[in-house]
Amino acid sequence: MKLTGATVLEGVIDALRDQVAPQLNDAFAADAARMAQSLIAIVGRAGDDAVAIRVAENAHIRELLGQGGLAAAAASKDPGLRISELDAENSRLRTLLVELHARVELEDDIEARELDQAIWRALRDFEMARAPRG
Amino acid sequence: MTTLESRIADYLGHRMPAAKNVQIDDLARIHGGSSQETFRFRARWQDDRGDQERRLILRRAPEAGLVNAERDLEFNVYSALAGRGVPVPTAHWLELDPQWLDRPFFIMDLMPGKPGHFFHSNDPYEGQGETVGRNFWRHLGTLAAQDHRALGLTGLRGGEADGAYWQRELDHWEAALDAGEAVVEPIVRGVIRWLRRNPPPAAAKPAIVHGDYRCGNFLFVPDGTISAVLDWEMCHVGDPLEDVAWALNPMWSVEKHLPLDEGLALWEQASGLTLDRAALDWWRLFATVKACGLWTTAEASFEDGTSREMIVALTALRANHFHRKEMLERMERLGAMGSVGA
Repeated sequence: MKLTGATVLEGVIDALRDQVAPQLNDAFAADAARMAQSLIAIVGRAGDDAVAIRVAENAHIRELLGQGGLAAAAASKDPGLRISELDAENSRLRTLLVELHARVELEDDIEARELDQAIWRALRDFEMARAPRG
Repeated sequence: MTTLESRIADYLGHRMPAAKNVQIDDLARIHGGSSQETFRFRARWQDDRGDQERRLILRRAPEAGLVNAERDLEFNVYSALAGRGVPVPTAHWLELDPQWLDRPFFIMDLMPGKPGHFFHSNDPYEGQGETVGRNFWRHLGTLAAQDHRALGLTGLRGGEADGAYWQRELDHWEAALDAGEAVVEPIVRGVIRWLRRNPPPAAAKPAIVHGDYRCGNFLFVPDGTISAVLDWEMCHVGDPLEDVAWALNPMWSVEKHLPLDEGLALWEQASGLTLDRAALDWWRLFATVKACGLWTTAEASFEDGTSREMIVALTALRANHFHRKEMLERMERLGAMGSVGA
């Protein structure tokens, strides 16, 4: 059996709660230890599906950009599978999505209105997929 | 005696030339707003009236934090509001010279009572939620009734403005997002555009806006009296509905403890204003943008290493998501996503 990063972090949380926090007499330091537990939990639990979430989000944004007539952006590819690479691409795509959204919400036709609403629904899905766990 | 204790004692001796043998003890850092470093301590000295003892609070500017407060802002507001019906501590000394404690600071009275903790408890007011709620709205209404010009607070942001407060505040928080966002948030940007396309009515009056009036930023005592309203770093002049909307944010809303209609009636009575519910809805959506601006500033300060406070990182992760989710729920109710549930 291989010890996973997630299990190690769960162990660190347990140690902070059971071994460190009870020894802290200073309220400010005890608060900091408690909040550190929460932070480790959130970050640790975001690791497993981090790549999957970013790949899916980037693909969905490209689809929306394509519907908005941005063919080149729609045809682009993720440059790699490192989180940093996916995040850089996500940042680029989000900027284009904001520009597209600002344009279509001012257009007064059914197609534009449907794309505007589709963008809002996609943003809701992205946010829920990235909700902090812990 | 630690270095900080001896340095505070030196400073008090400097400000009170008649005081002899100034001693500082029981010094502890406490959470008191996320932007300023806050310490409580006891000062003892002798003067021509004999032995003196006072419990005090030191608020020192951080290197960075959630809010880049003007150094004299809180001190000036505490001084101006003394005796005006909003409970605030007596502020004693403001010091901008870094020779004393490295960064600007001020010293005020330690007030009785404790803050509520909305993160930790569903009953942050220990069974006194209803009484606290009534006092909460009454004090906020009393604040809205003040004349900032008569109190000498025209130096606050918006203090010399002549209307369009909604636009000034939206510009302010959009600029904070521009400065702090590492990755653009299309949800927040979409809400900002909606707010600009659908402006609220003009403010009923220019009011002193606390800026962060909520659970955790005031002290209450066991009978439910609010002993002090604290943390005025974001104080400015604007539409009084800004504070009302912020107070109702679901992350810390007092609505859990006192029915909304009852609370707003108390606010109207104390402020002398009639509350426009449609305008309040605009300000409640605005409050989510302001919240994200605030948390994004926090995120940036942790990311660049100027803050290493756990609370700053935690609010950046949790509260940003919480408020974007609230934005989405409000935009869905406004029809932005088409038929509900699509």
